Amino acid sequence: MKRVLIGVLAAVTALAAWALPAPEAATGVVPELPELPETGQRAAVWFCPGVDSEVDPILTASLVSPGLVGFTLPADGDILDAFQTRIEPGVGDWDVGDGLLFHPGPSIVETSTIPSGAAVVYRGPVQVAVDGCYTPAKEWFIAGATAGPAETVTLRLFNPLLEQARVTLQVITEFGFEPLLDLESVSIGPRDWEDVPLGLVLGTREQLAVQVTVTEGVVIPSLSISGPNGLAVWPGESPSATWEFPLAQVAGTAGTISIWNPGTEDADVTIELMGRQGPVGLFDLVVRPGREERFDVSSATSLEAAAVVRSSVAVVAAIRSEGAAGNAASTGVARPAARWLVPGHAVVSDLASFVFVLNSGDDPVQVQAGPVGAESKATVNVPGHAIVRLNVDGRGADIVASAPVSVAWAVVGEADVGLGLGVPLAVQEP
Amino acid sequence: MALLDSALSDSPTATALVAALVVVHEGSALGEALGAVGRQVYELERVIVVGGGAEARGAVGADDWVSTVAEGLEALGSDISHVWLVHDDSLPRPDALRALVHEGGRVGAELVGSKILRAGHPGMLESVGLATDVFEVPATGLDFGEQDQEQYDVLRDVAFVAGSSILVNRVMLERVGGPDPLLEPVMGALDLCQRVRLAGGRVVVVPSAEVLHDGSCAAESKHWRLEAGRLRAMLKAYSPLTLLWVVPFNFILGLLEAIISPLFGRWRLFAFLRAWLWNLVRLPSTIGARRRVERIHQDDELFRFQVRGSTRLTSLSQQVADKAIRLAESERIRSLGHFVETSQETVRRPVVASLLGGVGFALLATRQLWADGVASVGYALPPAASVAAALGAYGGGWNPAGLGSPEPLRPVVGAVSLVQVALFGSGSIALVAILVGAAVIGVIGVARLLGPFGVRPVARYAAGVFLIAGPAARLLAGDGVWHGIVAMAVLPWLLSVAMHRRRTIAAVAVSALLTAVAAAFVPLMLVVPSAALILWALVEPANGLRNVGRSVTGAVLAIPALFPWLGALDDLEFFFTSGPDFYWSATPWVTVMVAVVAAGGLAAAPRPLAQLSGWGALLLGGGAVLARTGSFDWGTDPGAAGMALAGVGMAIIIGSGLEAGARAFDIGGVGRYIRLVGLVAAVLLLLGTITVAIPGRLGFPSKGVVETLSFTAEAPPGRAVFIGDEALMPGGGRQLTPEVSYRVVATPEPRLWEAWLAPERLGDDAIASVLSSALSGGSFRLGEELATFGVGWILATGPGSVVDALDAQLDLLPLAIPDTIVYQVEIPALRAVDESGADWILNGTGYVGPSSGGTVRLAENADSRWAEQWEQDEWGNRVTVDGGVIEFGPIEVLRTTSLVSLAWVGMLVIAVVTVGRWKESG
Repeated sequence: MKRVLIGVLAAVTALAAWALPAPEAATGVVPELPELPETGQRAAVWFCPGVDSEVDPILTASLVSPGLVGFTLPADGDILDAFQTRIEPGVGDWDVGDGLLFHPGPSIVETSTIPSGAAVVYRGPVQVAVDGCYTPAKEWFIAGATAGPAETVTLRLFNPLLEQARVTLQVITEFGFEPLLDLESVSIGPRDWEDVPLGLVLGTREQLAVQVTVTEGVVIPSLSISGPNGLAVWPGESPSATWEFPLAQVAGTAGTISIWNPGTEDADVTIELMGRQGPVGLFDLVVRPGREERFDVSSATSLEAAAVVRSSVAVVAAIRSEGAAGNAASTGVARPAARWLVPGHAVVSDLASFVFVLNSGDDPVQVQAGPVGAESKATVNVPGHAIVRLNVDGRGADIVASAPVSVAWAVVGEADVGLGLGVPLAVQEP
Repeated sequence: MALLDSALSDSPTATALVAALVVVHEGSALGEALGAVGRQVYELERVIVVGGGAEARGAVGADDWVSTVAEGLEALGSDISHVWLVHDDSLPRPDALRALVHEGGRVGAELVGSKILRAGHPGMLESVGLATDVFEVPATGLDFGEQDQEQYDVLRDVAFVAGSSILVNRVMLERVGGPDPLLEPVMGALDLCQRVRLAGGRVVVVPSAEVLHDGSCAAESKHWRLEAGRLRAMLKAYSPLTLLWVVPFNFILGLLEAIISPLFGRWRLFAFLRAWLWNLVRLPSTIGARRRVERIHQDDELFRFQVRGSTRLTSLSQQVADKAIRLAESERIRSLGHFVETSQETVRRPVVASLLGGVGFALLATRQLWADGVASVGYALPPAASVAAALGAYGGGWNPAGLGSPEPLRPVVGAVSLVQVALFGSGSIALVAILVGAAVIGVIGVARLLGPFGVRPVARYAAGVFLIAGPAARLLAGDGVWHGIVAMAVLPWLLSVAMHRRRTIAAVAVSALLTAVAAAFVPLMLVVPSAALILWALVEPANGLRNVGRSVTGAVLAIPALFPWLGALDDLEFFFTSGPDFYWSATPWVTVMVAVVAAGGLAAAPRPLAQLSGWGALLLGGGAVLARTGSFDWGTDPGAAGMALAGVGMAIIIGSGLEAGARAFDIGGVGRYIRLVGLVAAVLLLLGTITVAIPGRLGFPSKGVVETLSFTAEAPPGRAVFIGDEALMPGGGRQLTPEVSYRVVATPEPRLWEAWLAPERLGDDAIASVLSSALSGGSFRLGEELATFGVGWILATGPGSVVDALDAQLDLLPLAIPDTIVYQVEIPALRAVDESGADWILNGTGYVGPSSGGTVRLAENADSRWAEQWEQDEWGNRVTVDGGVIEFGPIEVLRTTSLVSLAWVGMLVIAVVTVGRWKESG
């Protein structure tokens, strides 16, 4: 009997032990970054690829709450120069040209709080351009380029980290995929950049698109075209079925929308053009797999116009706007948002700067706009399928809309123009 | 005339005229010796007493007394041809001298000696001529207590004969200069015989010349005098070439013996030192005596009768074997005195064969540790390079774990440091020695625990093997919880002492010492043995209260040994939750097999074995509960204690299962088959221990954190931080979230004193904040921020978004290290830097820098005891010093407490030794 009792007691104890669950982390794998203790505001880092041309970069960053902004110029694995400033809600900027004439390299913008946004204005004696600053992605698509005889087409590959990076490039032209063995694997040193002279490599091409696949590290690409009409810079993006271009044609230039279908199915594309007065027209086209098609905006309107590209499959789209007034390029907005920052707006006092808001919806949208950090904002009404051009009086622009909209901004110099997108923000809960 | 025996005749047919010199050693037996000499059938020409002072002089008269042998020789008439040197504690049989004279004369020996028998035990041999080894250590060639059955009664040349009775040709005696008065009797005889042989004489033992020797002269042969005499005899006899290697080796052997002898209750170090000092002082005398040695023969004559190898080493190994046998024997058997055996007989006994098998397995399972060391996983970090620094840190110094703390170090650090001291400061083998020792004592401990229950040697030693190479040991070793293995090895001894010792005072004394040892490694061992004994009381109520009482009393007495750590333990929650969550996930195979053995034992084994099975199952179940508390965020300590308990429980189950299986055919029916099934399951489980034995690392992995951090060796000492899974960090980490932890360690090689973290302080909170910020996207300059903590490297111990977050940092340089995700901080990360930017180098727990001193920022948790001129620098320190050394000012209370604690342990040792001697004398 006693043996049985002891056996039962032992069995009960063993069962109790067996019932104890294993600790959750017993496998030693941390698949997701878990909830970490609150440590105050989150920070943000923006990578600005830069451009090698006769321009000075003016780095800008916007904060909607007090914080620090740091600008860094990495080069050859090291830090060439850096500048840090504390700002109240507003815009911090650093004119790199004050110390380094025509600095060709990329830059890093860090902010100690979010929301934040960063952008670069490139200003030279002749050329003007604007570009955003970006966060890493593993695959980038850049469409809309050309390689004309008088143009310098350069693909900038920026590695912001201390780790060696490597990318694979695929170039698509009007001849289809271009088998360029030298570009199959390109290494970029830590905190350094590589410029790929596509124009020299390919010769003249009427159509040029590049897919950048990051195989190691972090790489931020951008494409720049410098020609007789000025300088245009635009970044890579990811394919999407919808693209909104708040400004598809800058005043005084002819806009072209390039649509590249990197997929394996035909893309049935509809392009809706809109102006300040409302819809301009609706156009259909089909983009074959692996091909790029172009739509000439100027063939439909000579005014400033916006465009919305809707496709049956995910495509890559970009606009080029080039003419006597200058040369500009931009990617589109894949997902409209209700709040936008335009960090570089009106930062350079001798350049005219405008903000464009596109309401692609059917209903009118109320938009409040003002300088970043300003207590009061002006309110404008944007009708459905229309754009407005805003003259925000002050450094930076903070756009809050009653419904999702798309925002772009343009700077206008004496001989050139620049075009860029705003930085979309999530709407802050009250 | 043929019938006339010349030896019995007074006629001048005598071949030698002999005078006896009776050398007084002890004196009390002089009268008896003189009487025995006087009864010799071979008539002596004269009897002279040598030495012994006025008492001896008064006993024989002034004419027949001299103070030295040399004087005695001078006093002899010129007609004396032979001198018989006899000790006053010797009683030669009446025909002894006759035999010496006749046999010596017959073979032409210049020096002949007697067969020496023990007075009072006339059948017991003391010596029949002696040999030596090359180090002049005498070897009788006899077994202890060997009886005289005339088995050695052969006239033969020997290295030397006992000084109790020596007949020597007078001419030869004068040629060699007589006995050396500086030597005690044994070495005196050896020295004399050697000089005779070098001078061309033969030294022969005449077994028919029997002398009873009561051994009073042994009082003069103190160990140090024997040692001194050996060395002097060597220095006098050997050629310079031989001395060139013999003397250094002799020194090493003597030192080795001095170190090992305390294990056997003897202190030889002072004797060793005194002997060498004695010879050093008398070196001129020795050189002079050496010059007077007549050398017809060379060293080869001395080598002729020497035994091979070292008698001393052989003796030491025999002592070790004897000690092991005594440990292996149950107390019942020991008390019967059955362990006195010859070596060969010993080995043949099952208990000894099993012991050797068990110990052999333990050594086999740990063999690779000697070559490779213990891989630095978990808590298995190498001890501090400087044992003095470790002891200083233990005694109220700076606790260097993480970012440092004034909290006392764990007792395990002190215990390892003491072992390190015993190993002359060698940290590299201290851990190995402890683990190998633990493996051996673990095997023997289980055998001792099970023996009195009737578990026979093979089964109980197999159970011991299962303890040190079974699932428990494997898990503990795999997780680097090496101290748990030590505690587990001591636990059977603790249980055995409480249950099997007859005398309570002895049980309490030994239990206190063993508990102190076990609890030093795993503090919960203060209570675990008592809990195990309570479970035993459930199984067998008899003596239950006594057993538990002994254990509890021992535990109470062991508590002072855990100070100062225990006294400063004011955060019990931290103690119970620190370290990686321990979780024993037993394989289904082990679970089922152990359950089969235990159930079989309970169901069909004889009563004592069934009780053992039940007890083992209860220990296993209770231990398993503790060992699986990781899900409650309990840390390593409860798990290690539980695993030790479970390990012992499994070993008990295996032992009883094997024994029950071996007795399967004692019964019939179903019971037989149940026992056989249990036996098969136990054997299958035992086969699993091969996986530990083959690699030979006791279950420890081959590589650890030291190898991982080896890439930091080229940089100055600094720090690295592990981020990710706590289980993969040395000594566990501090939690950022339940899934992500971090751990700061020193580079290039974290040391044992860093293994156990102290409760968080300012710096720990600060670095946690920095890491959290970076991992949650709050900052992108983690390197810059970590550099202020002296952290130069980051190791990610888990894939996933932790790595992604680190990849996104702007100032971290990923390093291409195989199998490791490592980032180097871009800017210099200095633990201590002065205003000029000079790096102060870590030295022990302090820092050294330029001798001019200066103001230095120390990346250690803020504490004003770092310097007199101290100010807090955020979470760290800014100190101003005049010299080039920064040391943490020790906390005197803790230092004093640690000394008292050490003294307490010493008292426990003395108590155990004293109790042991009571028992021996009893």
